[in-house]
Amino acid sequence: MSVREFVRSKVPTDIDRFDRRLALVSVLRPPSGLIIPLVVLLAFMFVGPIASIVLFSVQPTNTISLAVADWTLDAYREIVQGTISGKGVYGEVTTNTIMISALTTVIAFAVSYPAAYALATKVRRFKLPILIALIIPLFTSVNIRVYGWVLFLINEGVFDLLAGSVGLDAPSIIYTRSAVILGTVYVYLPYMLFPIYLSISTIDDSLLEAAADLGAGRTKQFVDVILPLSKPGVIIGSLFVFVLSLGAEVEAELLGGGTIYTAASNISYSFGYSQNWPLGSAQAVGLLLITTVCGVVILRTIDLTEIASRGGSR
Amino acid sequence: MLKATNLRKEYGSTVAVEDVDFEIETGSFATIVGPSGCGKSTLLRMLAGHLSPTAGQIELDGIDITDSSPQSRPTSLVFQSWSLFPHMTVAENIEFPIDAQGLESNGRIETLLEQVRLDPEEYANKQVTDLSGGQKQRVALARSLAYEPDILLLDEPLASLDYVLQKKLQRELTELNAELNTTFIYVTHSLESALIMSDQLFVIDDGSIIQRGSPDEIYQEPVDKFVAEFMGDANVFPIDVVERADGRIRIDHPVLEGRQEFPYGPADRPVPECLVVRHDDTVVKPSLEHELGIPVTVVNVLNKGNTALVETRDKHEDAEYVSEMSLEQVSDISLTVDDDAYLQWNPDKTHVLPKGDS
Amino acid sequence: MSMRSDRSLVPQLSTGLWYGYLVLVIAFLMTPLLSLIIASFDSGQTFSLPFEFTLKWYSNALTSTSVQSAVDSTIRISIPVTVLSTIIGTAGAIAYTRYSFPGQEYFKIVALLPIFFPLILLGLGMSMWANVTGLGYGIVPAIIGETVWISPIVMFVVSISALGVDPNIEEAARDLGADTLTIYKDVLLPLIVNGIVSGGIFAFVLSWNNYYIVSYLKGSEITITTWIHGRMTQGFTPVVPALASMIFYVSLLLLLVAVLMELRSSR
Repeated sequence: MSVREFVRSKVPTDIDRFDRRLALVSVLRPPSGLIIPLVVLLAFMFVGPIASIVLFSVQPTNTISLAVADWTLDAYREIVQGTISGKGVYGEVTTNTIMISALTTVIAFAVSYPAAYALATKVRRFKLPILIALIIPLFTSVNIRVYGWVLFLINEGVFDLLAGSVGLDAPSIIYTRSAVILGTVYVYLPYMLFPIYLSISTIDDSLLEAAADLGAGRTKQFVDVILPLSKPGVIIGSLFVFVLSLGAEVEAELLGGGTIYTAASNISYSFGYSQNWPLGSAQAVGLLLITTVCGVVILRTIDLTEIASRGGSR
Repeated sequence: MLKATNLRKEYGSTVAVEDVDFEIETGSFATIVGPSGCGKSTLLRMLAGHLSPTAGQIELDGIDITDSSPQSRPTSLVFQSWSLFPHMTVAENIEFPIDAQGLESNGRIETLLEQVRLDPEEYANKQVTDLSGGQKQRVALARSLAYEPDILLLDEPLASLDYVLQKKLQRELTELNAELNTTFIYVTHSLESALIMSDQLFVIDDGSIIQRGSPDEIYQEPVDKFVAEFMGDANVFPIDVVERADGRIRIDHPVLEGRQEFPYGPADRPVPECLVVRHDDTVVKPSLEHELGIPVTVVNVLNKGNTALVETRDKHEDAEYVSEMSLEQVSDISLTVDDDAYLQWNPDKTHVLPKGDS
Repeated sequence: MSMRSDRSLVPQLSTGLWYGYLVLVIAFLMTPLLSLIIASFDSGQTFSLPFEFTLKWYSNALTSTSVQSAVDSTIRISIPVTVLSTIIGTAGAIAYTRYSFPGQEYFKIVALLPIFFPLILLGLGMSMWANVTGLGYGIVPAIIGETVWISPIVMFVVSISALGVDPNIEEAARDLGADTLTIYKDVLLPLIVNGIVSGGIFAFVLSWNNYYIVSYLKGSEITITTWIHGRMTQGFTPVVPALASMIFYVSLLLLLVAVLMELRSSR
């Protein structure tokens, strides 16, 4: 039987068997069938947990079961009063957290931009090994990496070992706020570097050639072309680093040595030792709001198609 | 025979294809031509079954195929980007439609490759990603033919090839159409290819067919200003009609010298708004020798190889016109820039036309 | 004349400086990992000078029963997480990149949002939710929790692959008589298989290295990262650097495989 006869035998309305079976359960037809698992998963274990944080934040102190009708703002009141009166850790926690996140963002930007620029415009050879070296740390557990810094910084640690071998003796910064910032810069640096790298690599080379043709020097090319066109990457990277470093806990715990409190370590403390879920949740709600807003902004800006075309042309 | 009745496609409030009717004879070569965004691709996708029409009916040899799926209707679409399967060899690509029906290829691959003028020995086991544009085009064609479609739909498949290759493939497509008992429906924005290949031409704009007929008919008798301009490079003279009776009109134009009366019918045809005359039907000469002409100043003379384009400006209206003349003519009268002359033509070559939609 | 000779030298020199800077950044990123590796070979009970080479912590790590049970729990979590998130993430990626449907951009935003959440927020929210819903704590809740964070990452990786495929390819196949099953089996999946495999490897490595989510949902189970964390903060043992280093070696190896797969697909 020829293809023509075969196809003819099905004309006009015969849908093939698989598709007909699929049509019976039309809700499972692509794309709905492909979307449903992810949506169900996220509705259950992403939306649910976020809702719990919000709901628990308005529960009376020390409850561990939800009674939505008995809502109260006690937890928020405690935080606000604590911050205003200066008693307790809230004032210090807020200062520490904002300081750490802001400084981390600024330092990560200062370190990443030249690296991203070099990677996008200067590096031709060894590009792949360099890219791999830059992403490797992202795939190792945060606490293991931070612990590596502890081993590096502690008294008689790896730093002393290396410094000693060249006759250097420097005081360690471990268990200070600087050590915590070192940790957060370290952990979140790639989140700054890659968005900037992608945005610089999307700049068409011919644009720079055109700028050079029109008499722009290297500095002018950079200031008037590259810098403004890489702005989306800088914004995404900064939001990323700022939000993620707000959640820094292990860094503070291990490198701050239990002396530096951040919002995340304080939240974790409320859950762990003092078993006060509502208080922890109320502190988490602020973080949650900032995170959600920044996440949506980032995702609205990101164009996957563009990233895919960059990857393909590499 | 393929028959479309009141075919319509709406996207929200925009109408992409508006109540289109046509009939295409089995085995003929039909071309749908129009500017980009005119709805021609939407029309083609409805014929292929990738889009379902908002209203209307498509019938093939009397059978309604409006709602049948692309995989069960005997049409095959050759895409503009060819859409070959990049992970398969040439042979595997061509085998795909045969495999999909669970049938055996039985040496069909070789025949198909020969049909599209590719040497089976050399090409069958090549990876499609290693082919040139023209070769990919031929493989895409062979793959569609392997499906043994009653109707082969082609969506500007030559657009991304160079000019010489386009010419060559155009000729081969016409030959292939003559060889097979398959209807070819070709969509393009390029008038030139439409004129060369087709038996039947549909000019489409804003979702409607504005004119249909043989290439010759449409070229000779464009139905309105849009078609005339689209069909070939033409000069347009806006006119006022002062009198219309007995299938004739009398016009008024401030500077047009010579004949002012033209045949124009039938009575229900919209009021004409312009005279259209093709570039190559006009000449520019120092004195008025034809029955119809307009005083102009020569602006530029461009050598086009075997002809010359003489650009002129109307002294009163500030409009610009172009004449395409033979090189001998131009050198005989030694036209130079800023010369005063007459743009003129034989009145029989004048098309008196309504404005059209666009 | 001197201008001309400068011109050829200066760019070379400046390119060298850029490379030098990148090497510094990489050195910074590698510092803690190398510190771990160095410490893992030191013979002292606590890491201290002078340095003496030993392999005994590696053998201790491999024979310790508590490490073995931690490896066991980690495997029981990360294998289901890998399978589930690869399937769910790939499905999401195919839906987002190969179909058009109303609300598509919202779907992308919601589906990828978990990537941008600090893990501690996800962890503690999940922990309370597990209590409220009666889901409880242990292997299964940990699997579900990690899948929430990792599926979006797989979706991201596979989307990048799938967006590189000719947007008309399914129509072309359907046009030639292929049904949905054939299109998936013979056309779409073979074209994005490299993206799926590297997404799967990413999923496995990320699950293996996850700390925050699992620490909130594990209940009484001890996984490798939580075992290491416990030993870091109380009761140090030199087995920690050795075990952490081993995890790093394996992650590195898998990652290289994944990158090579991605590279092959983008060629």
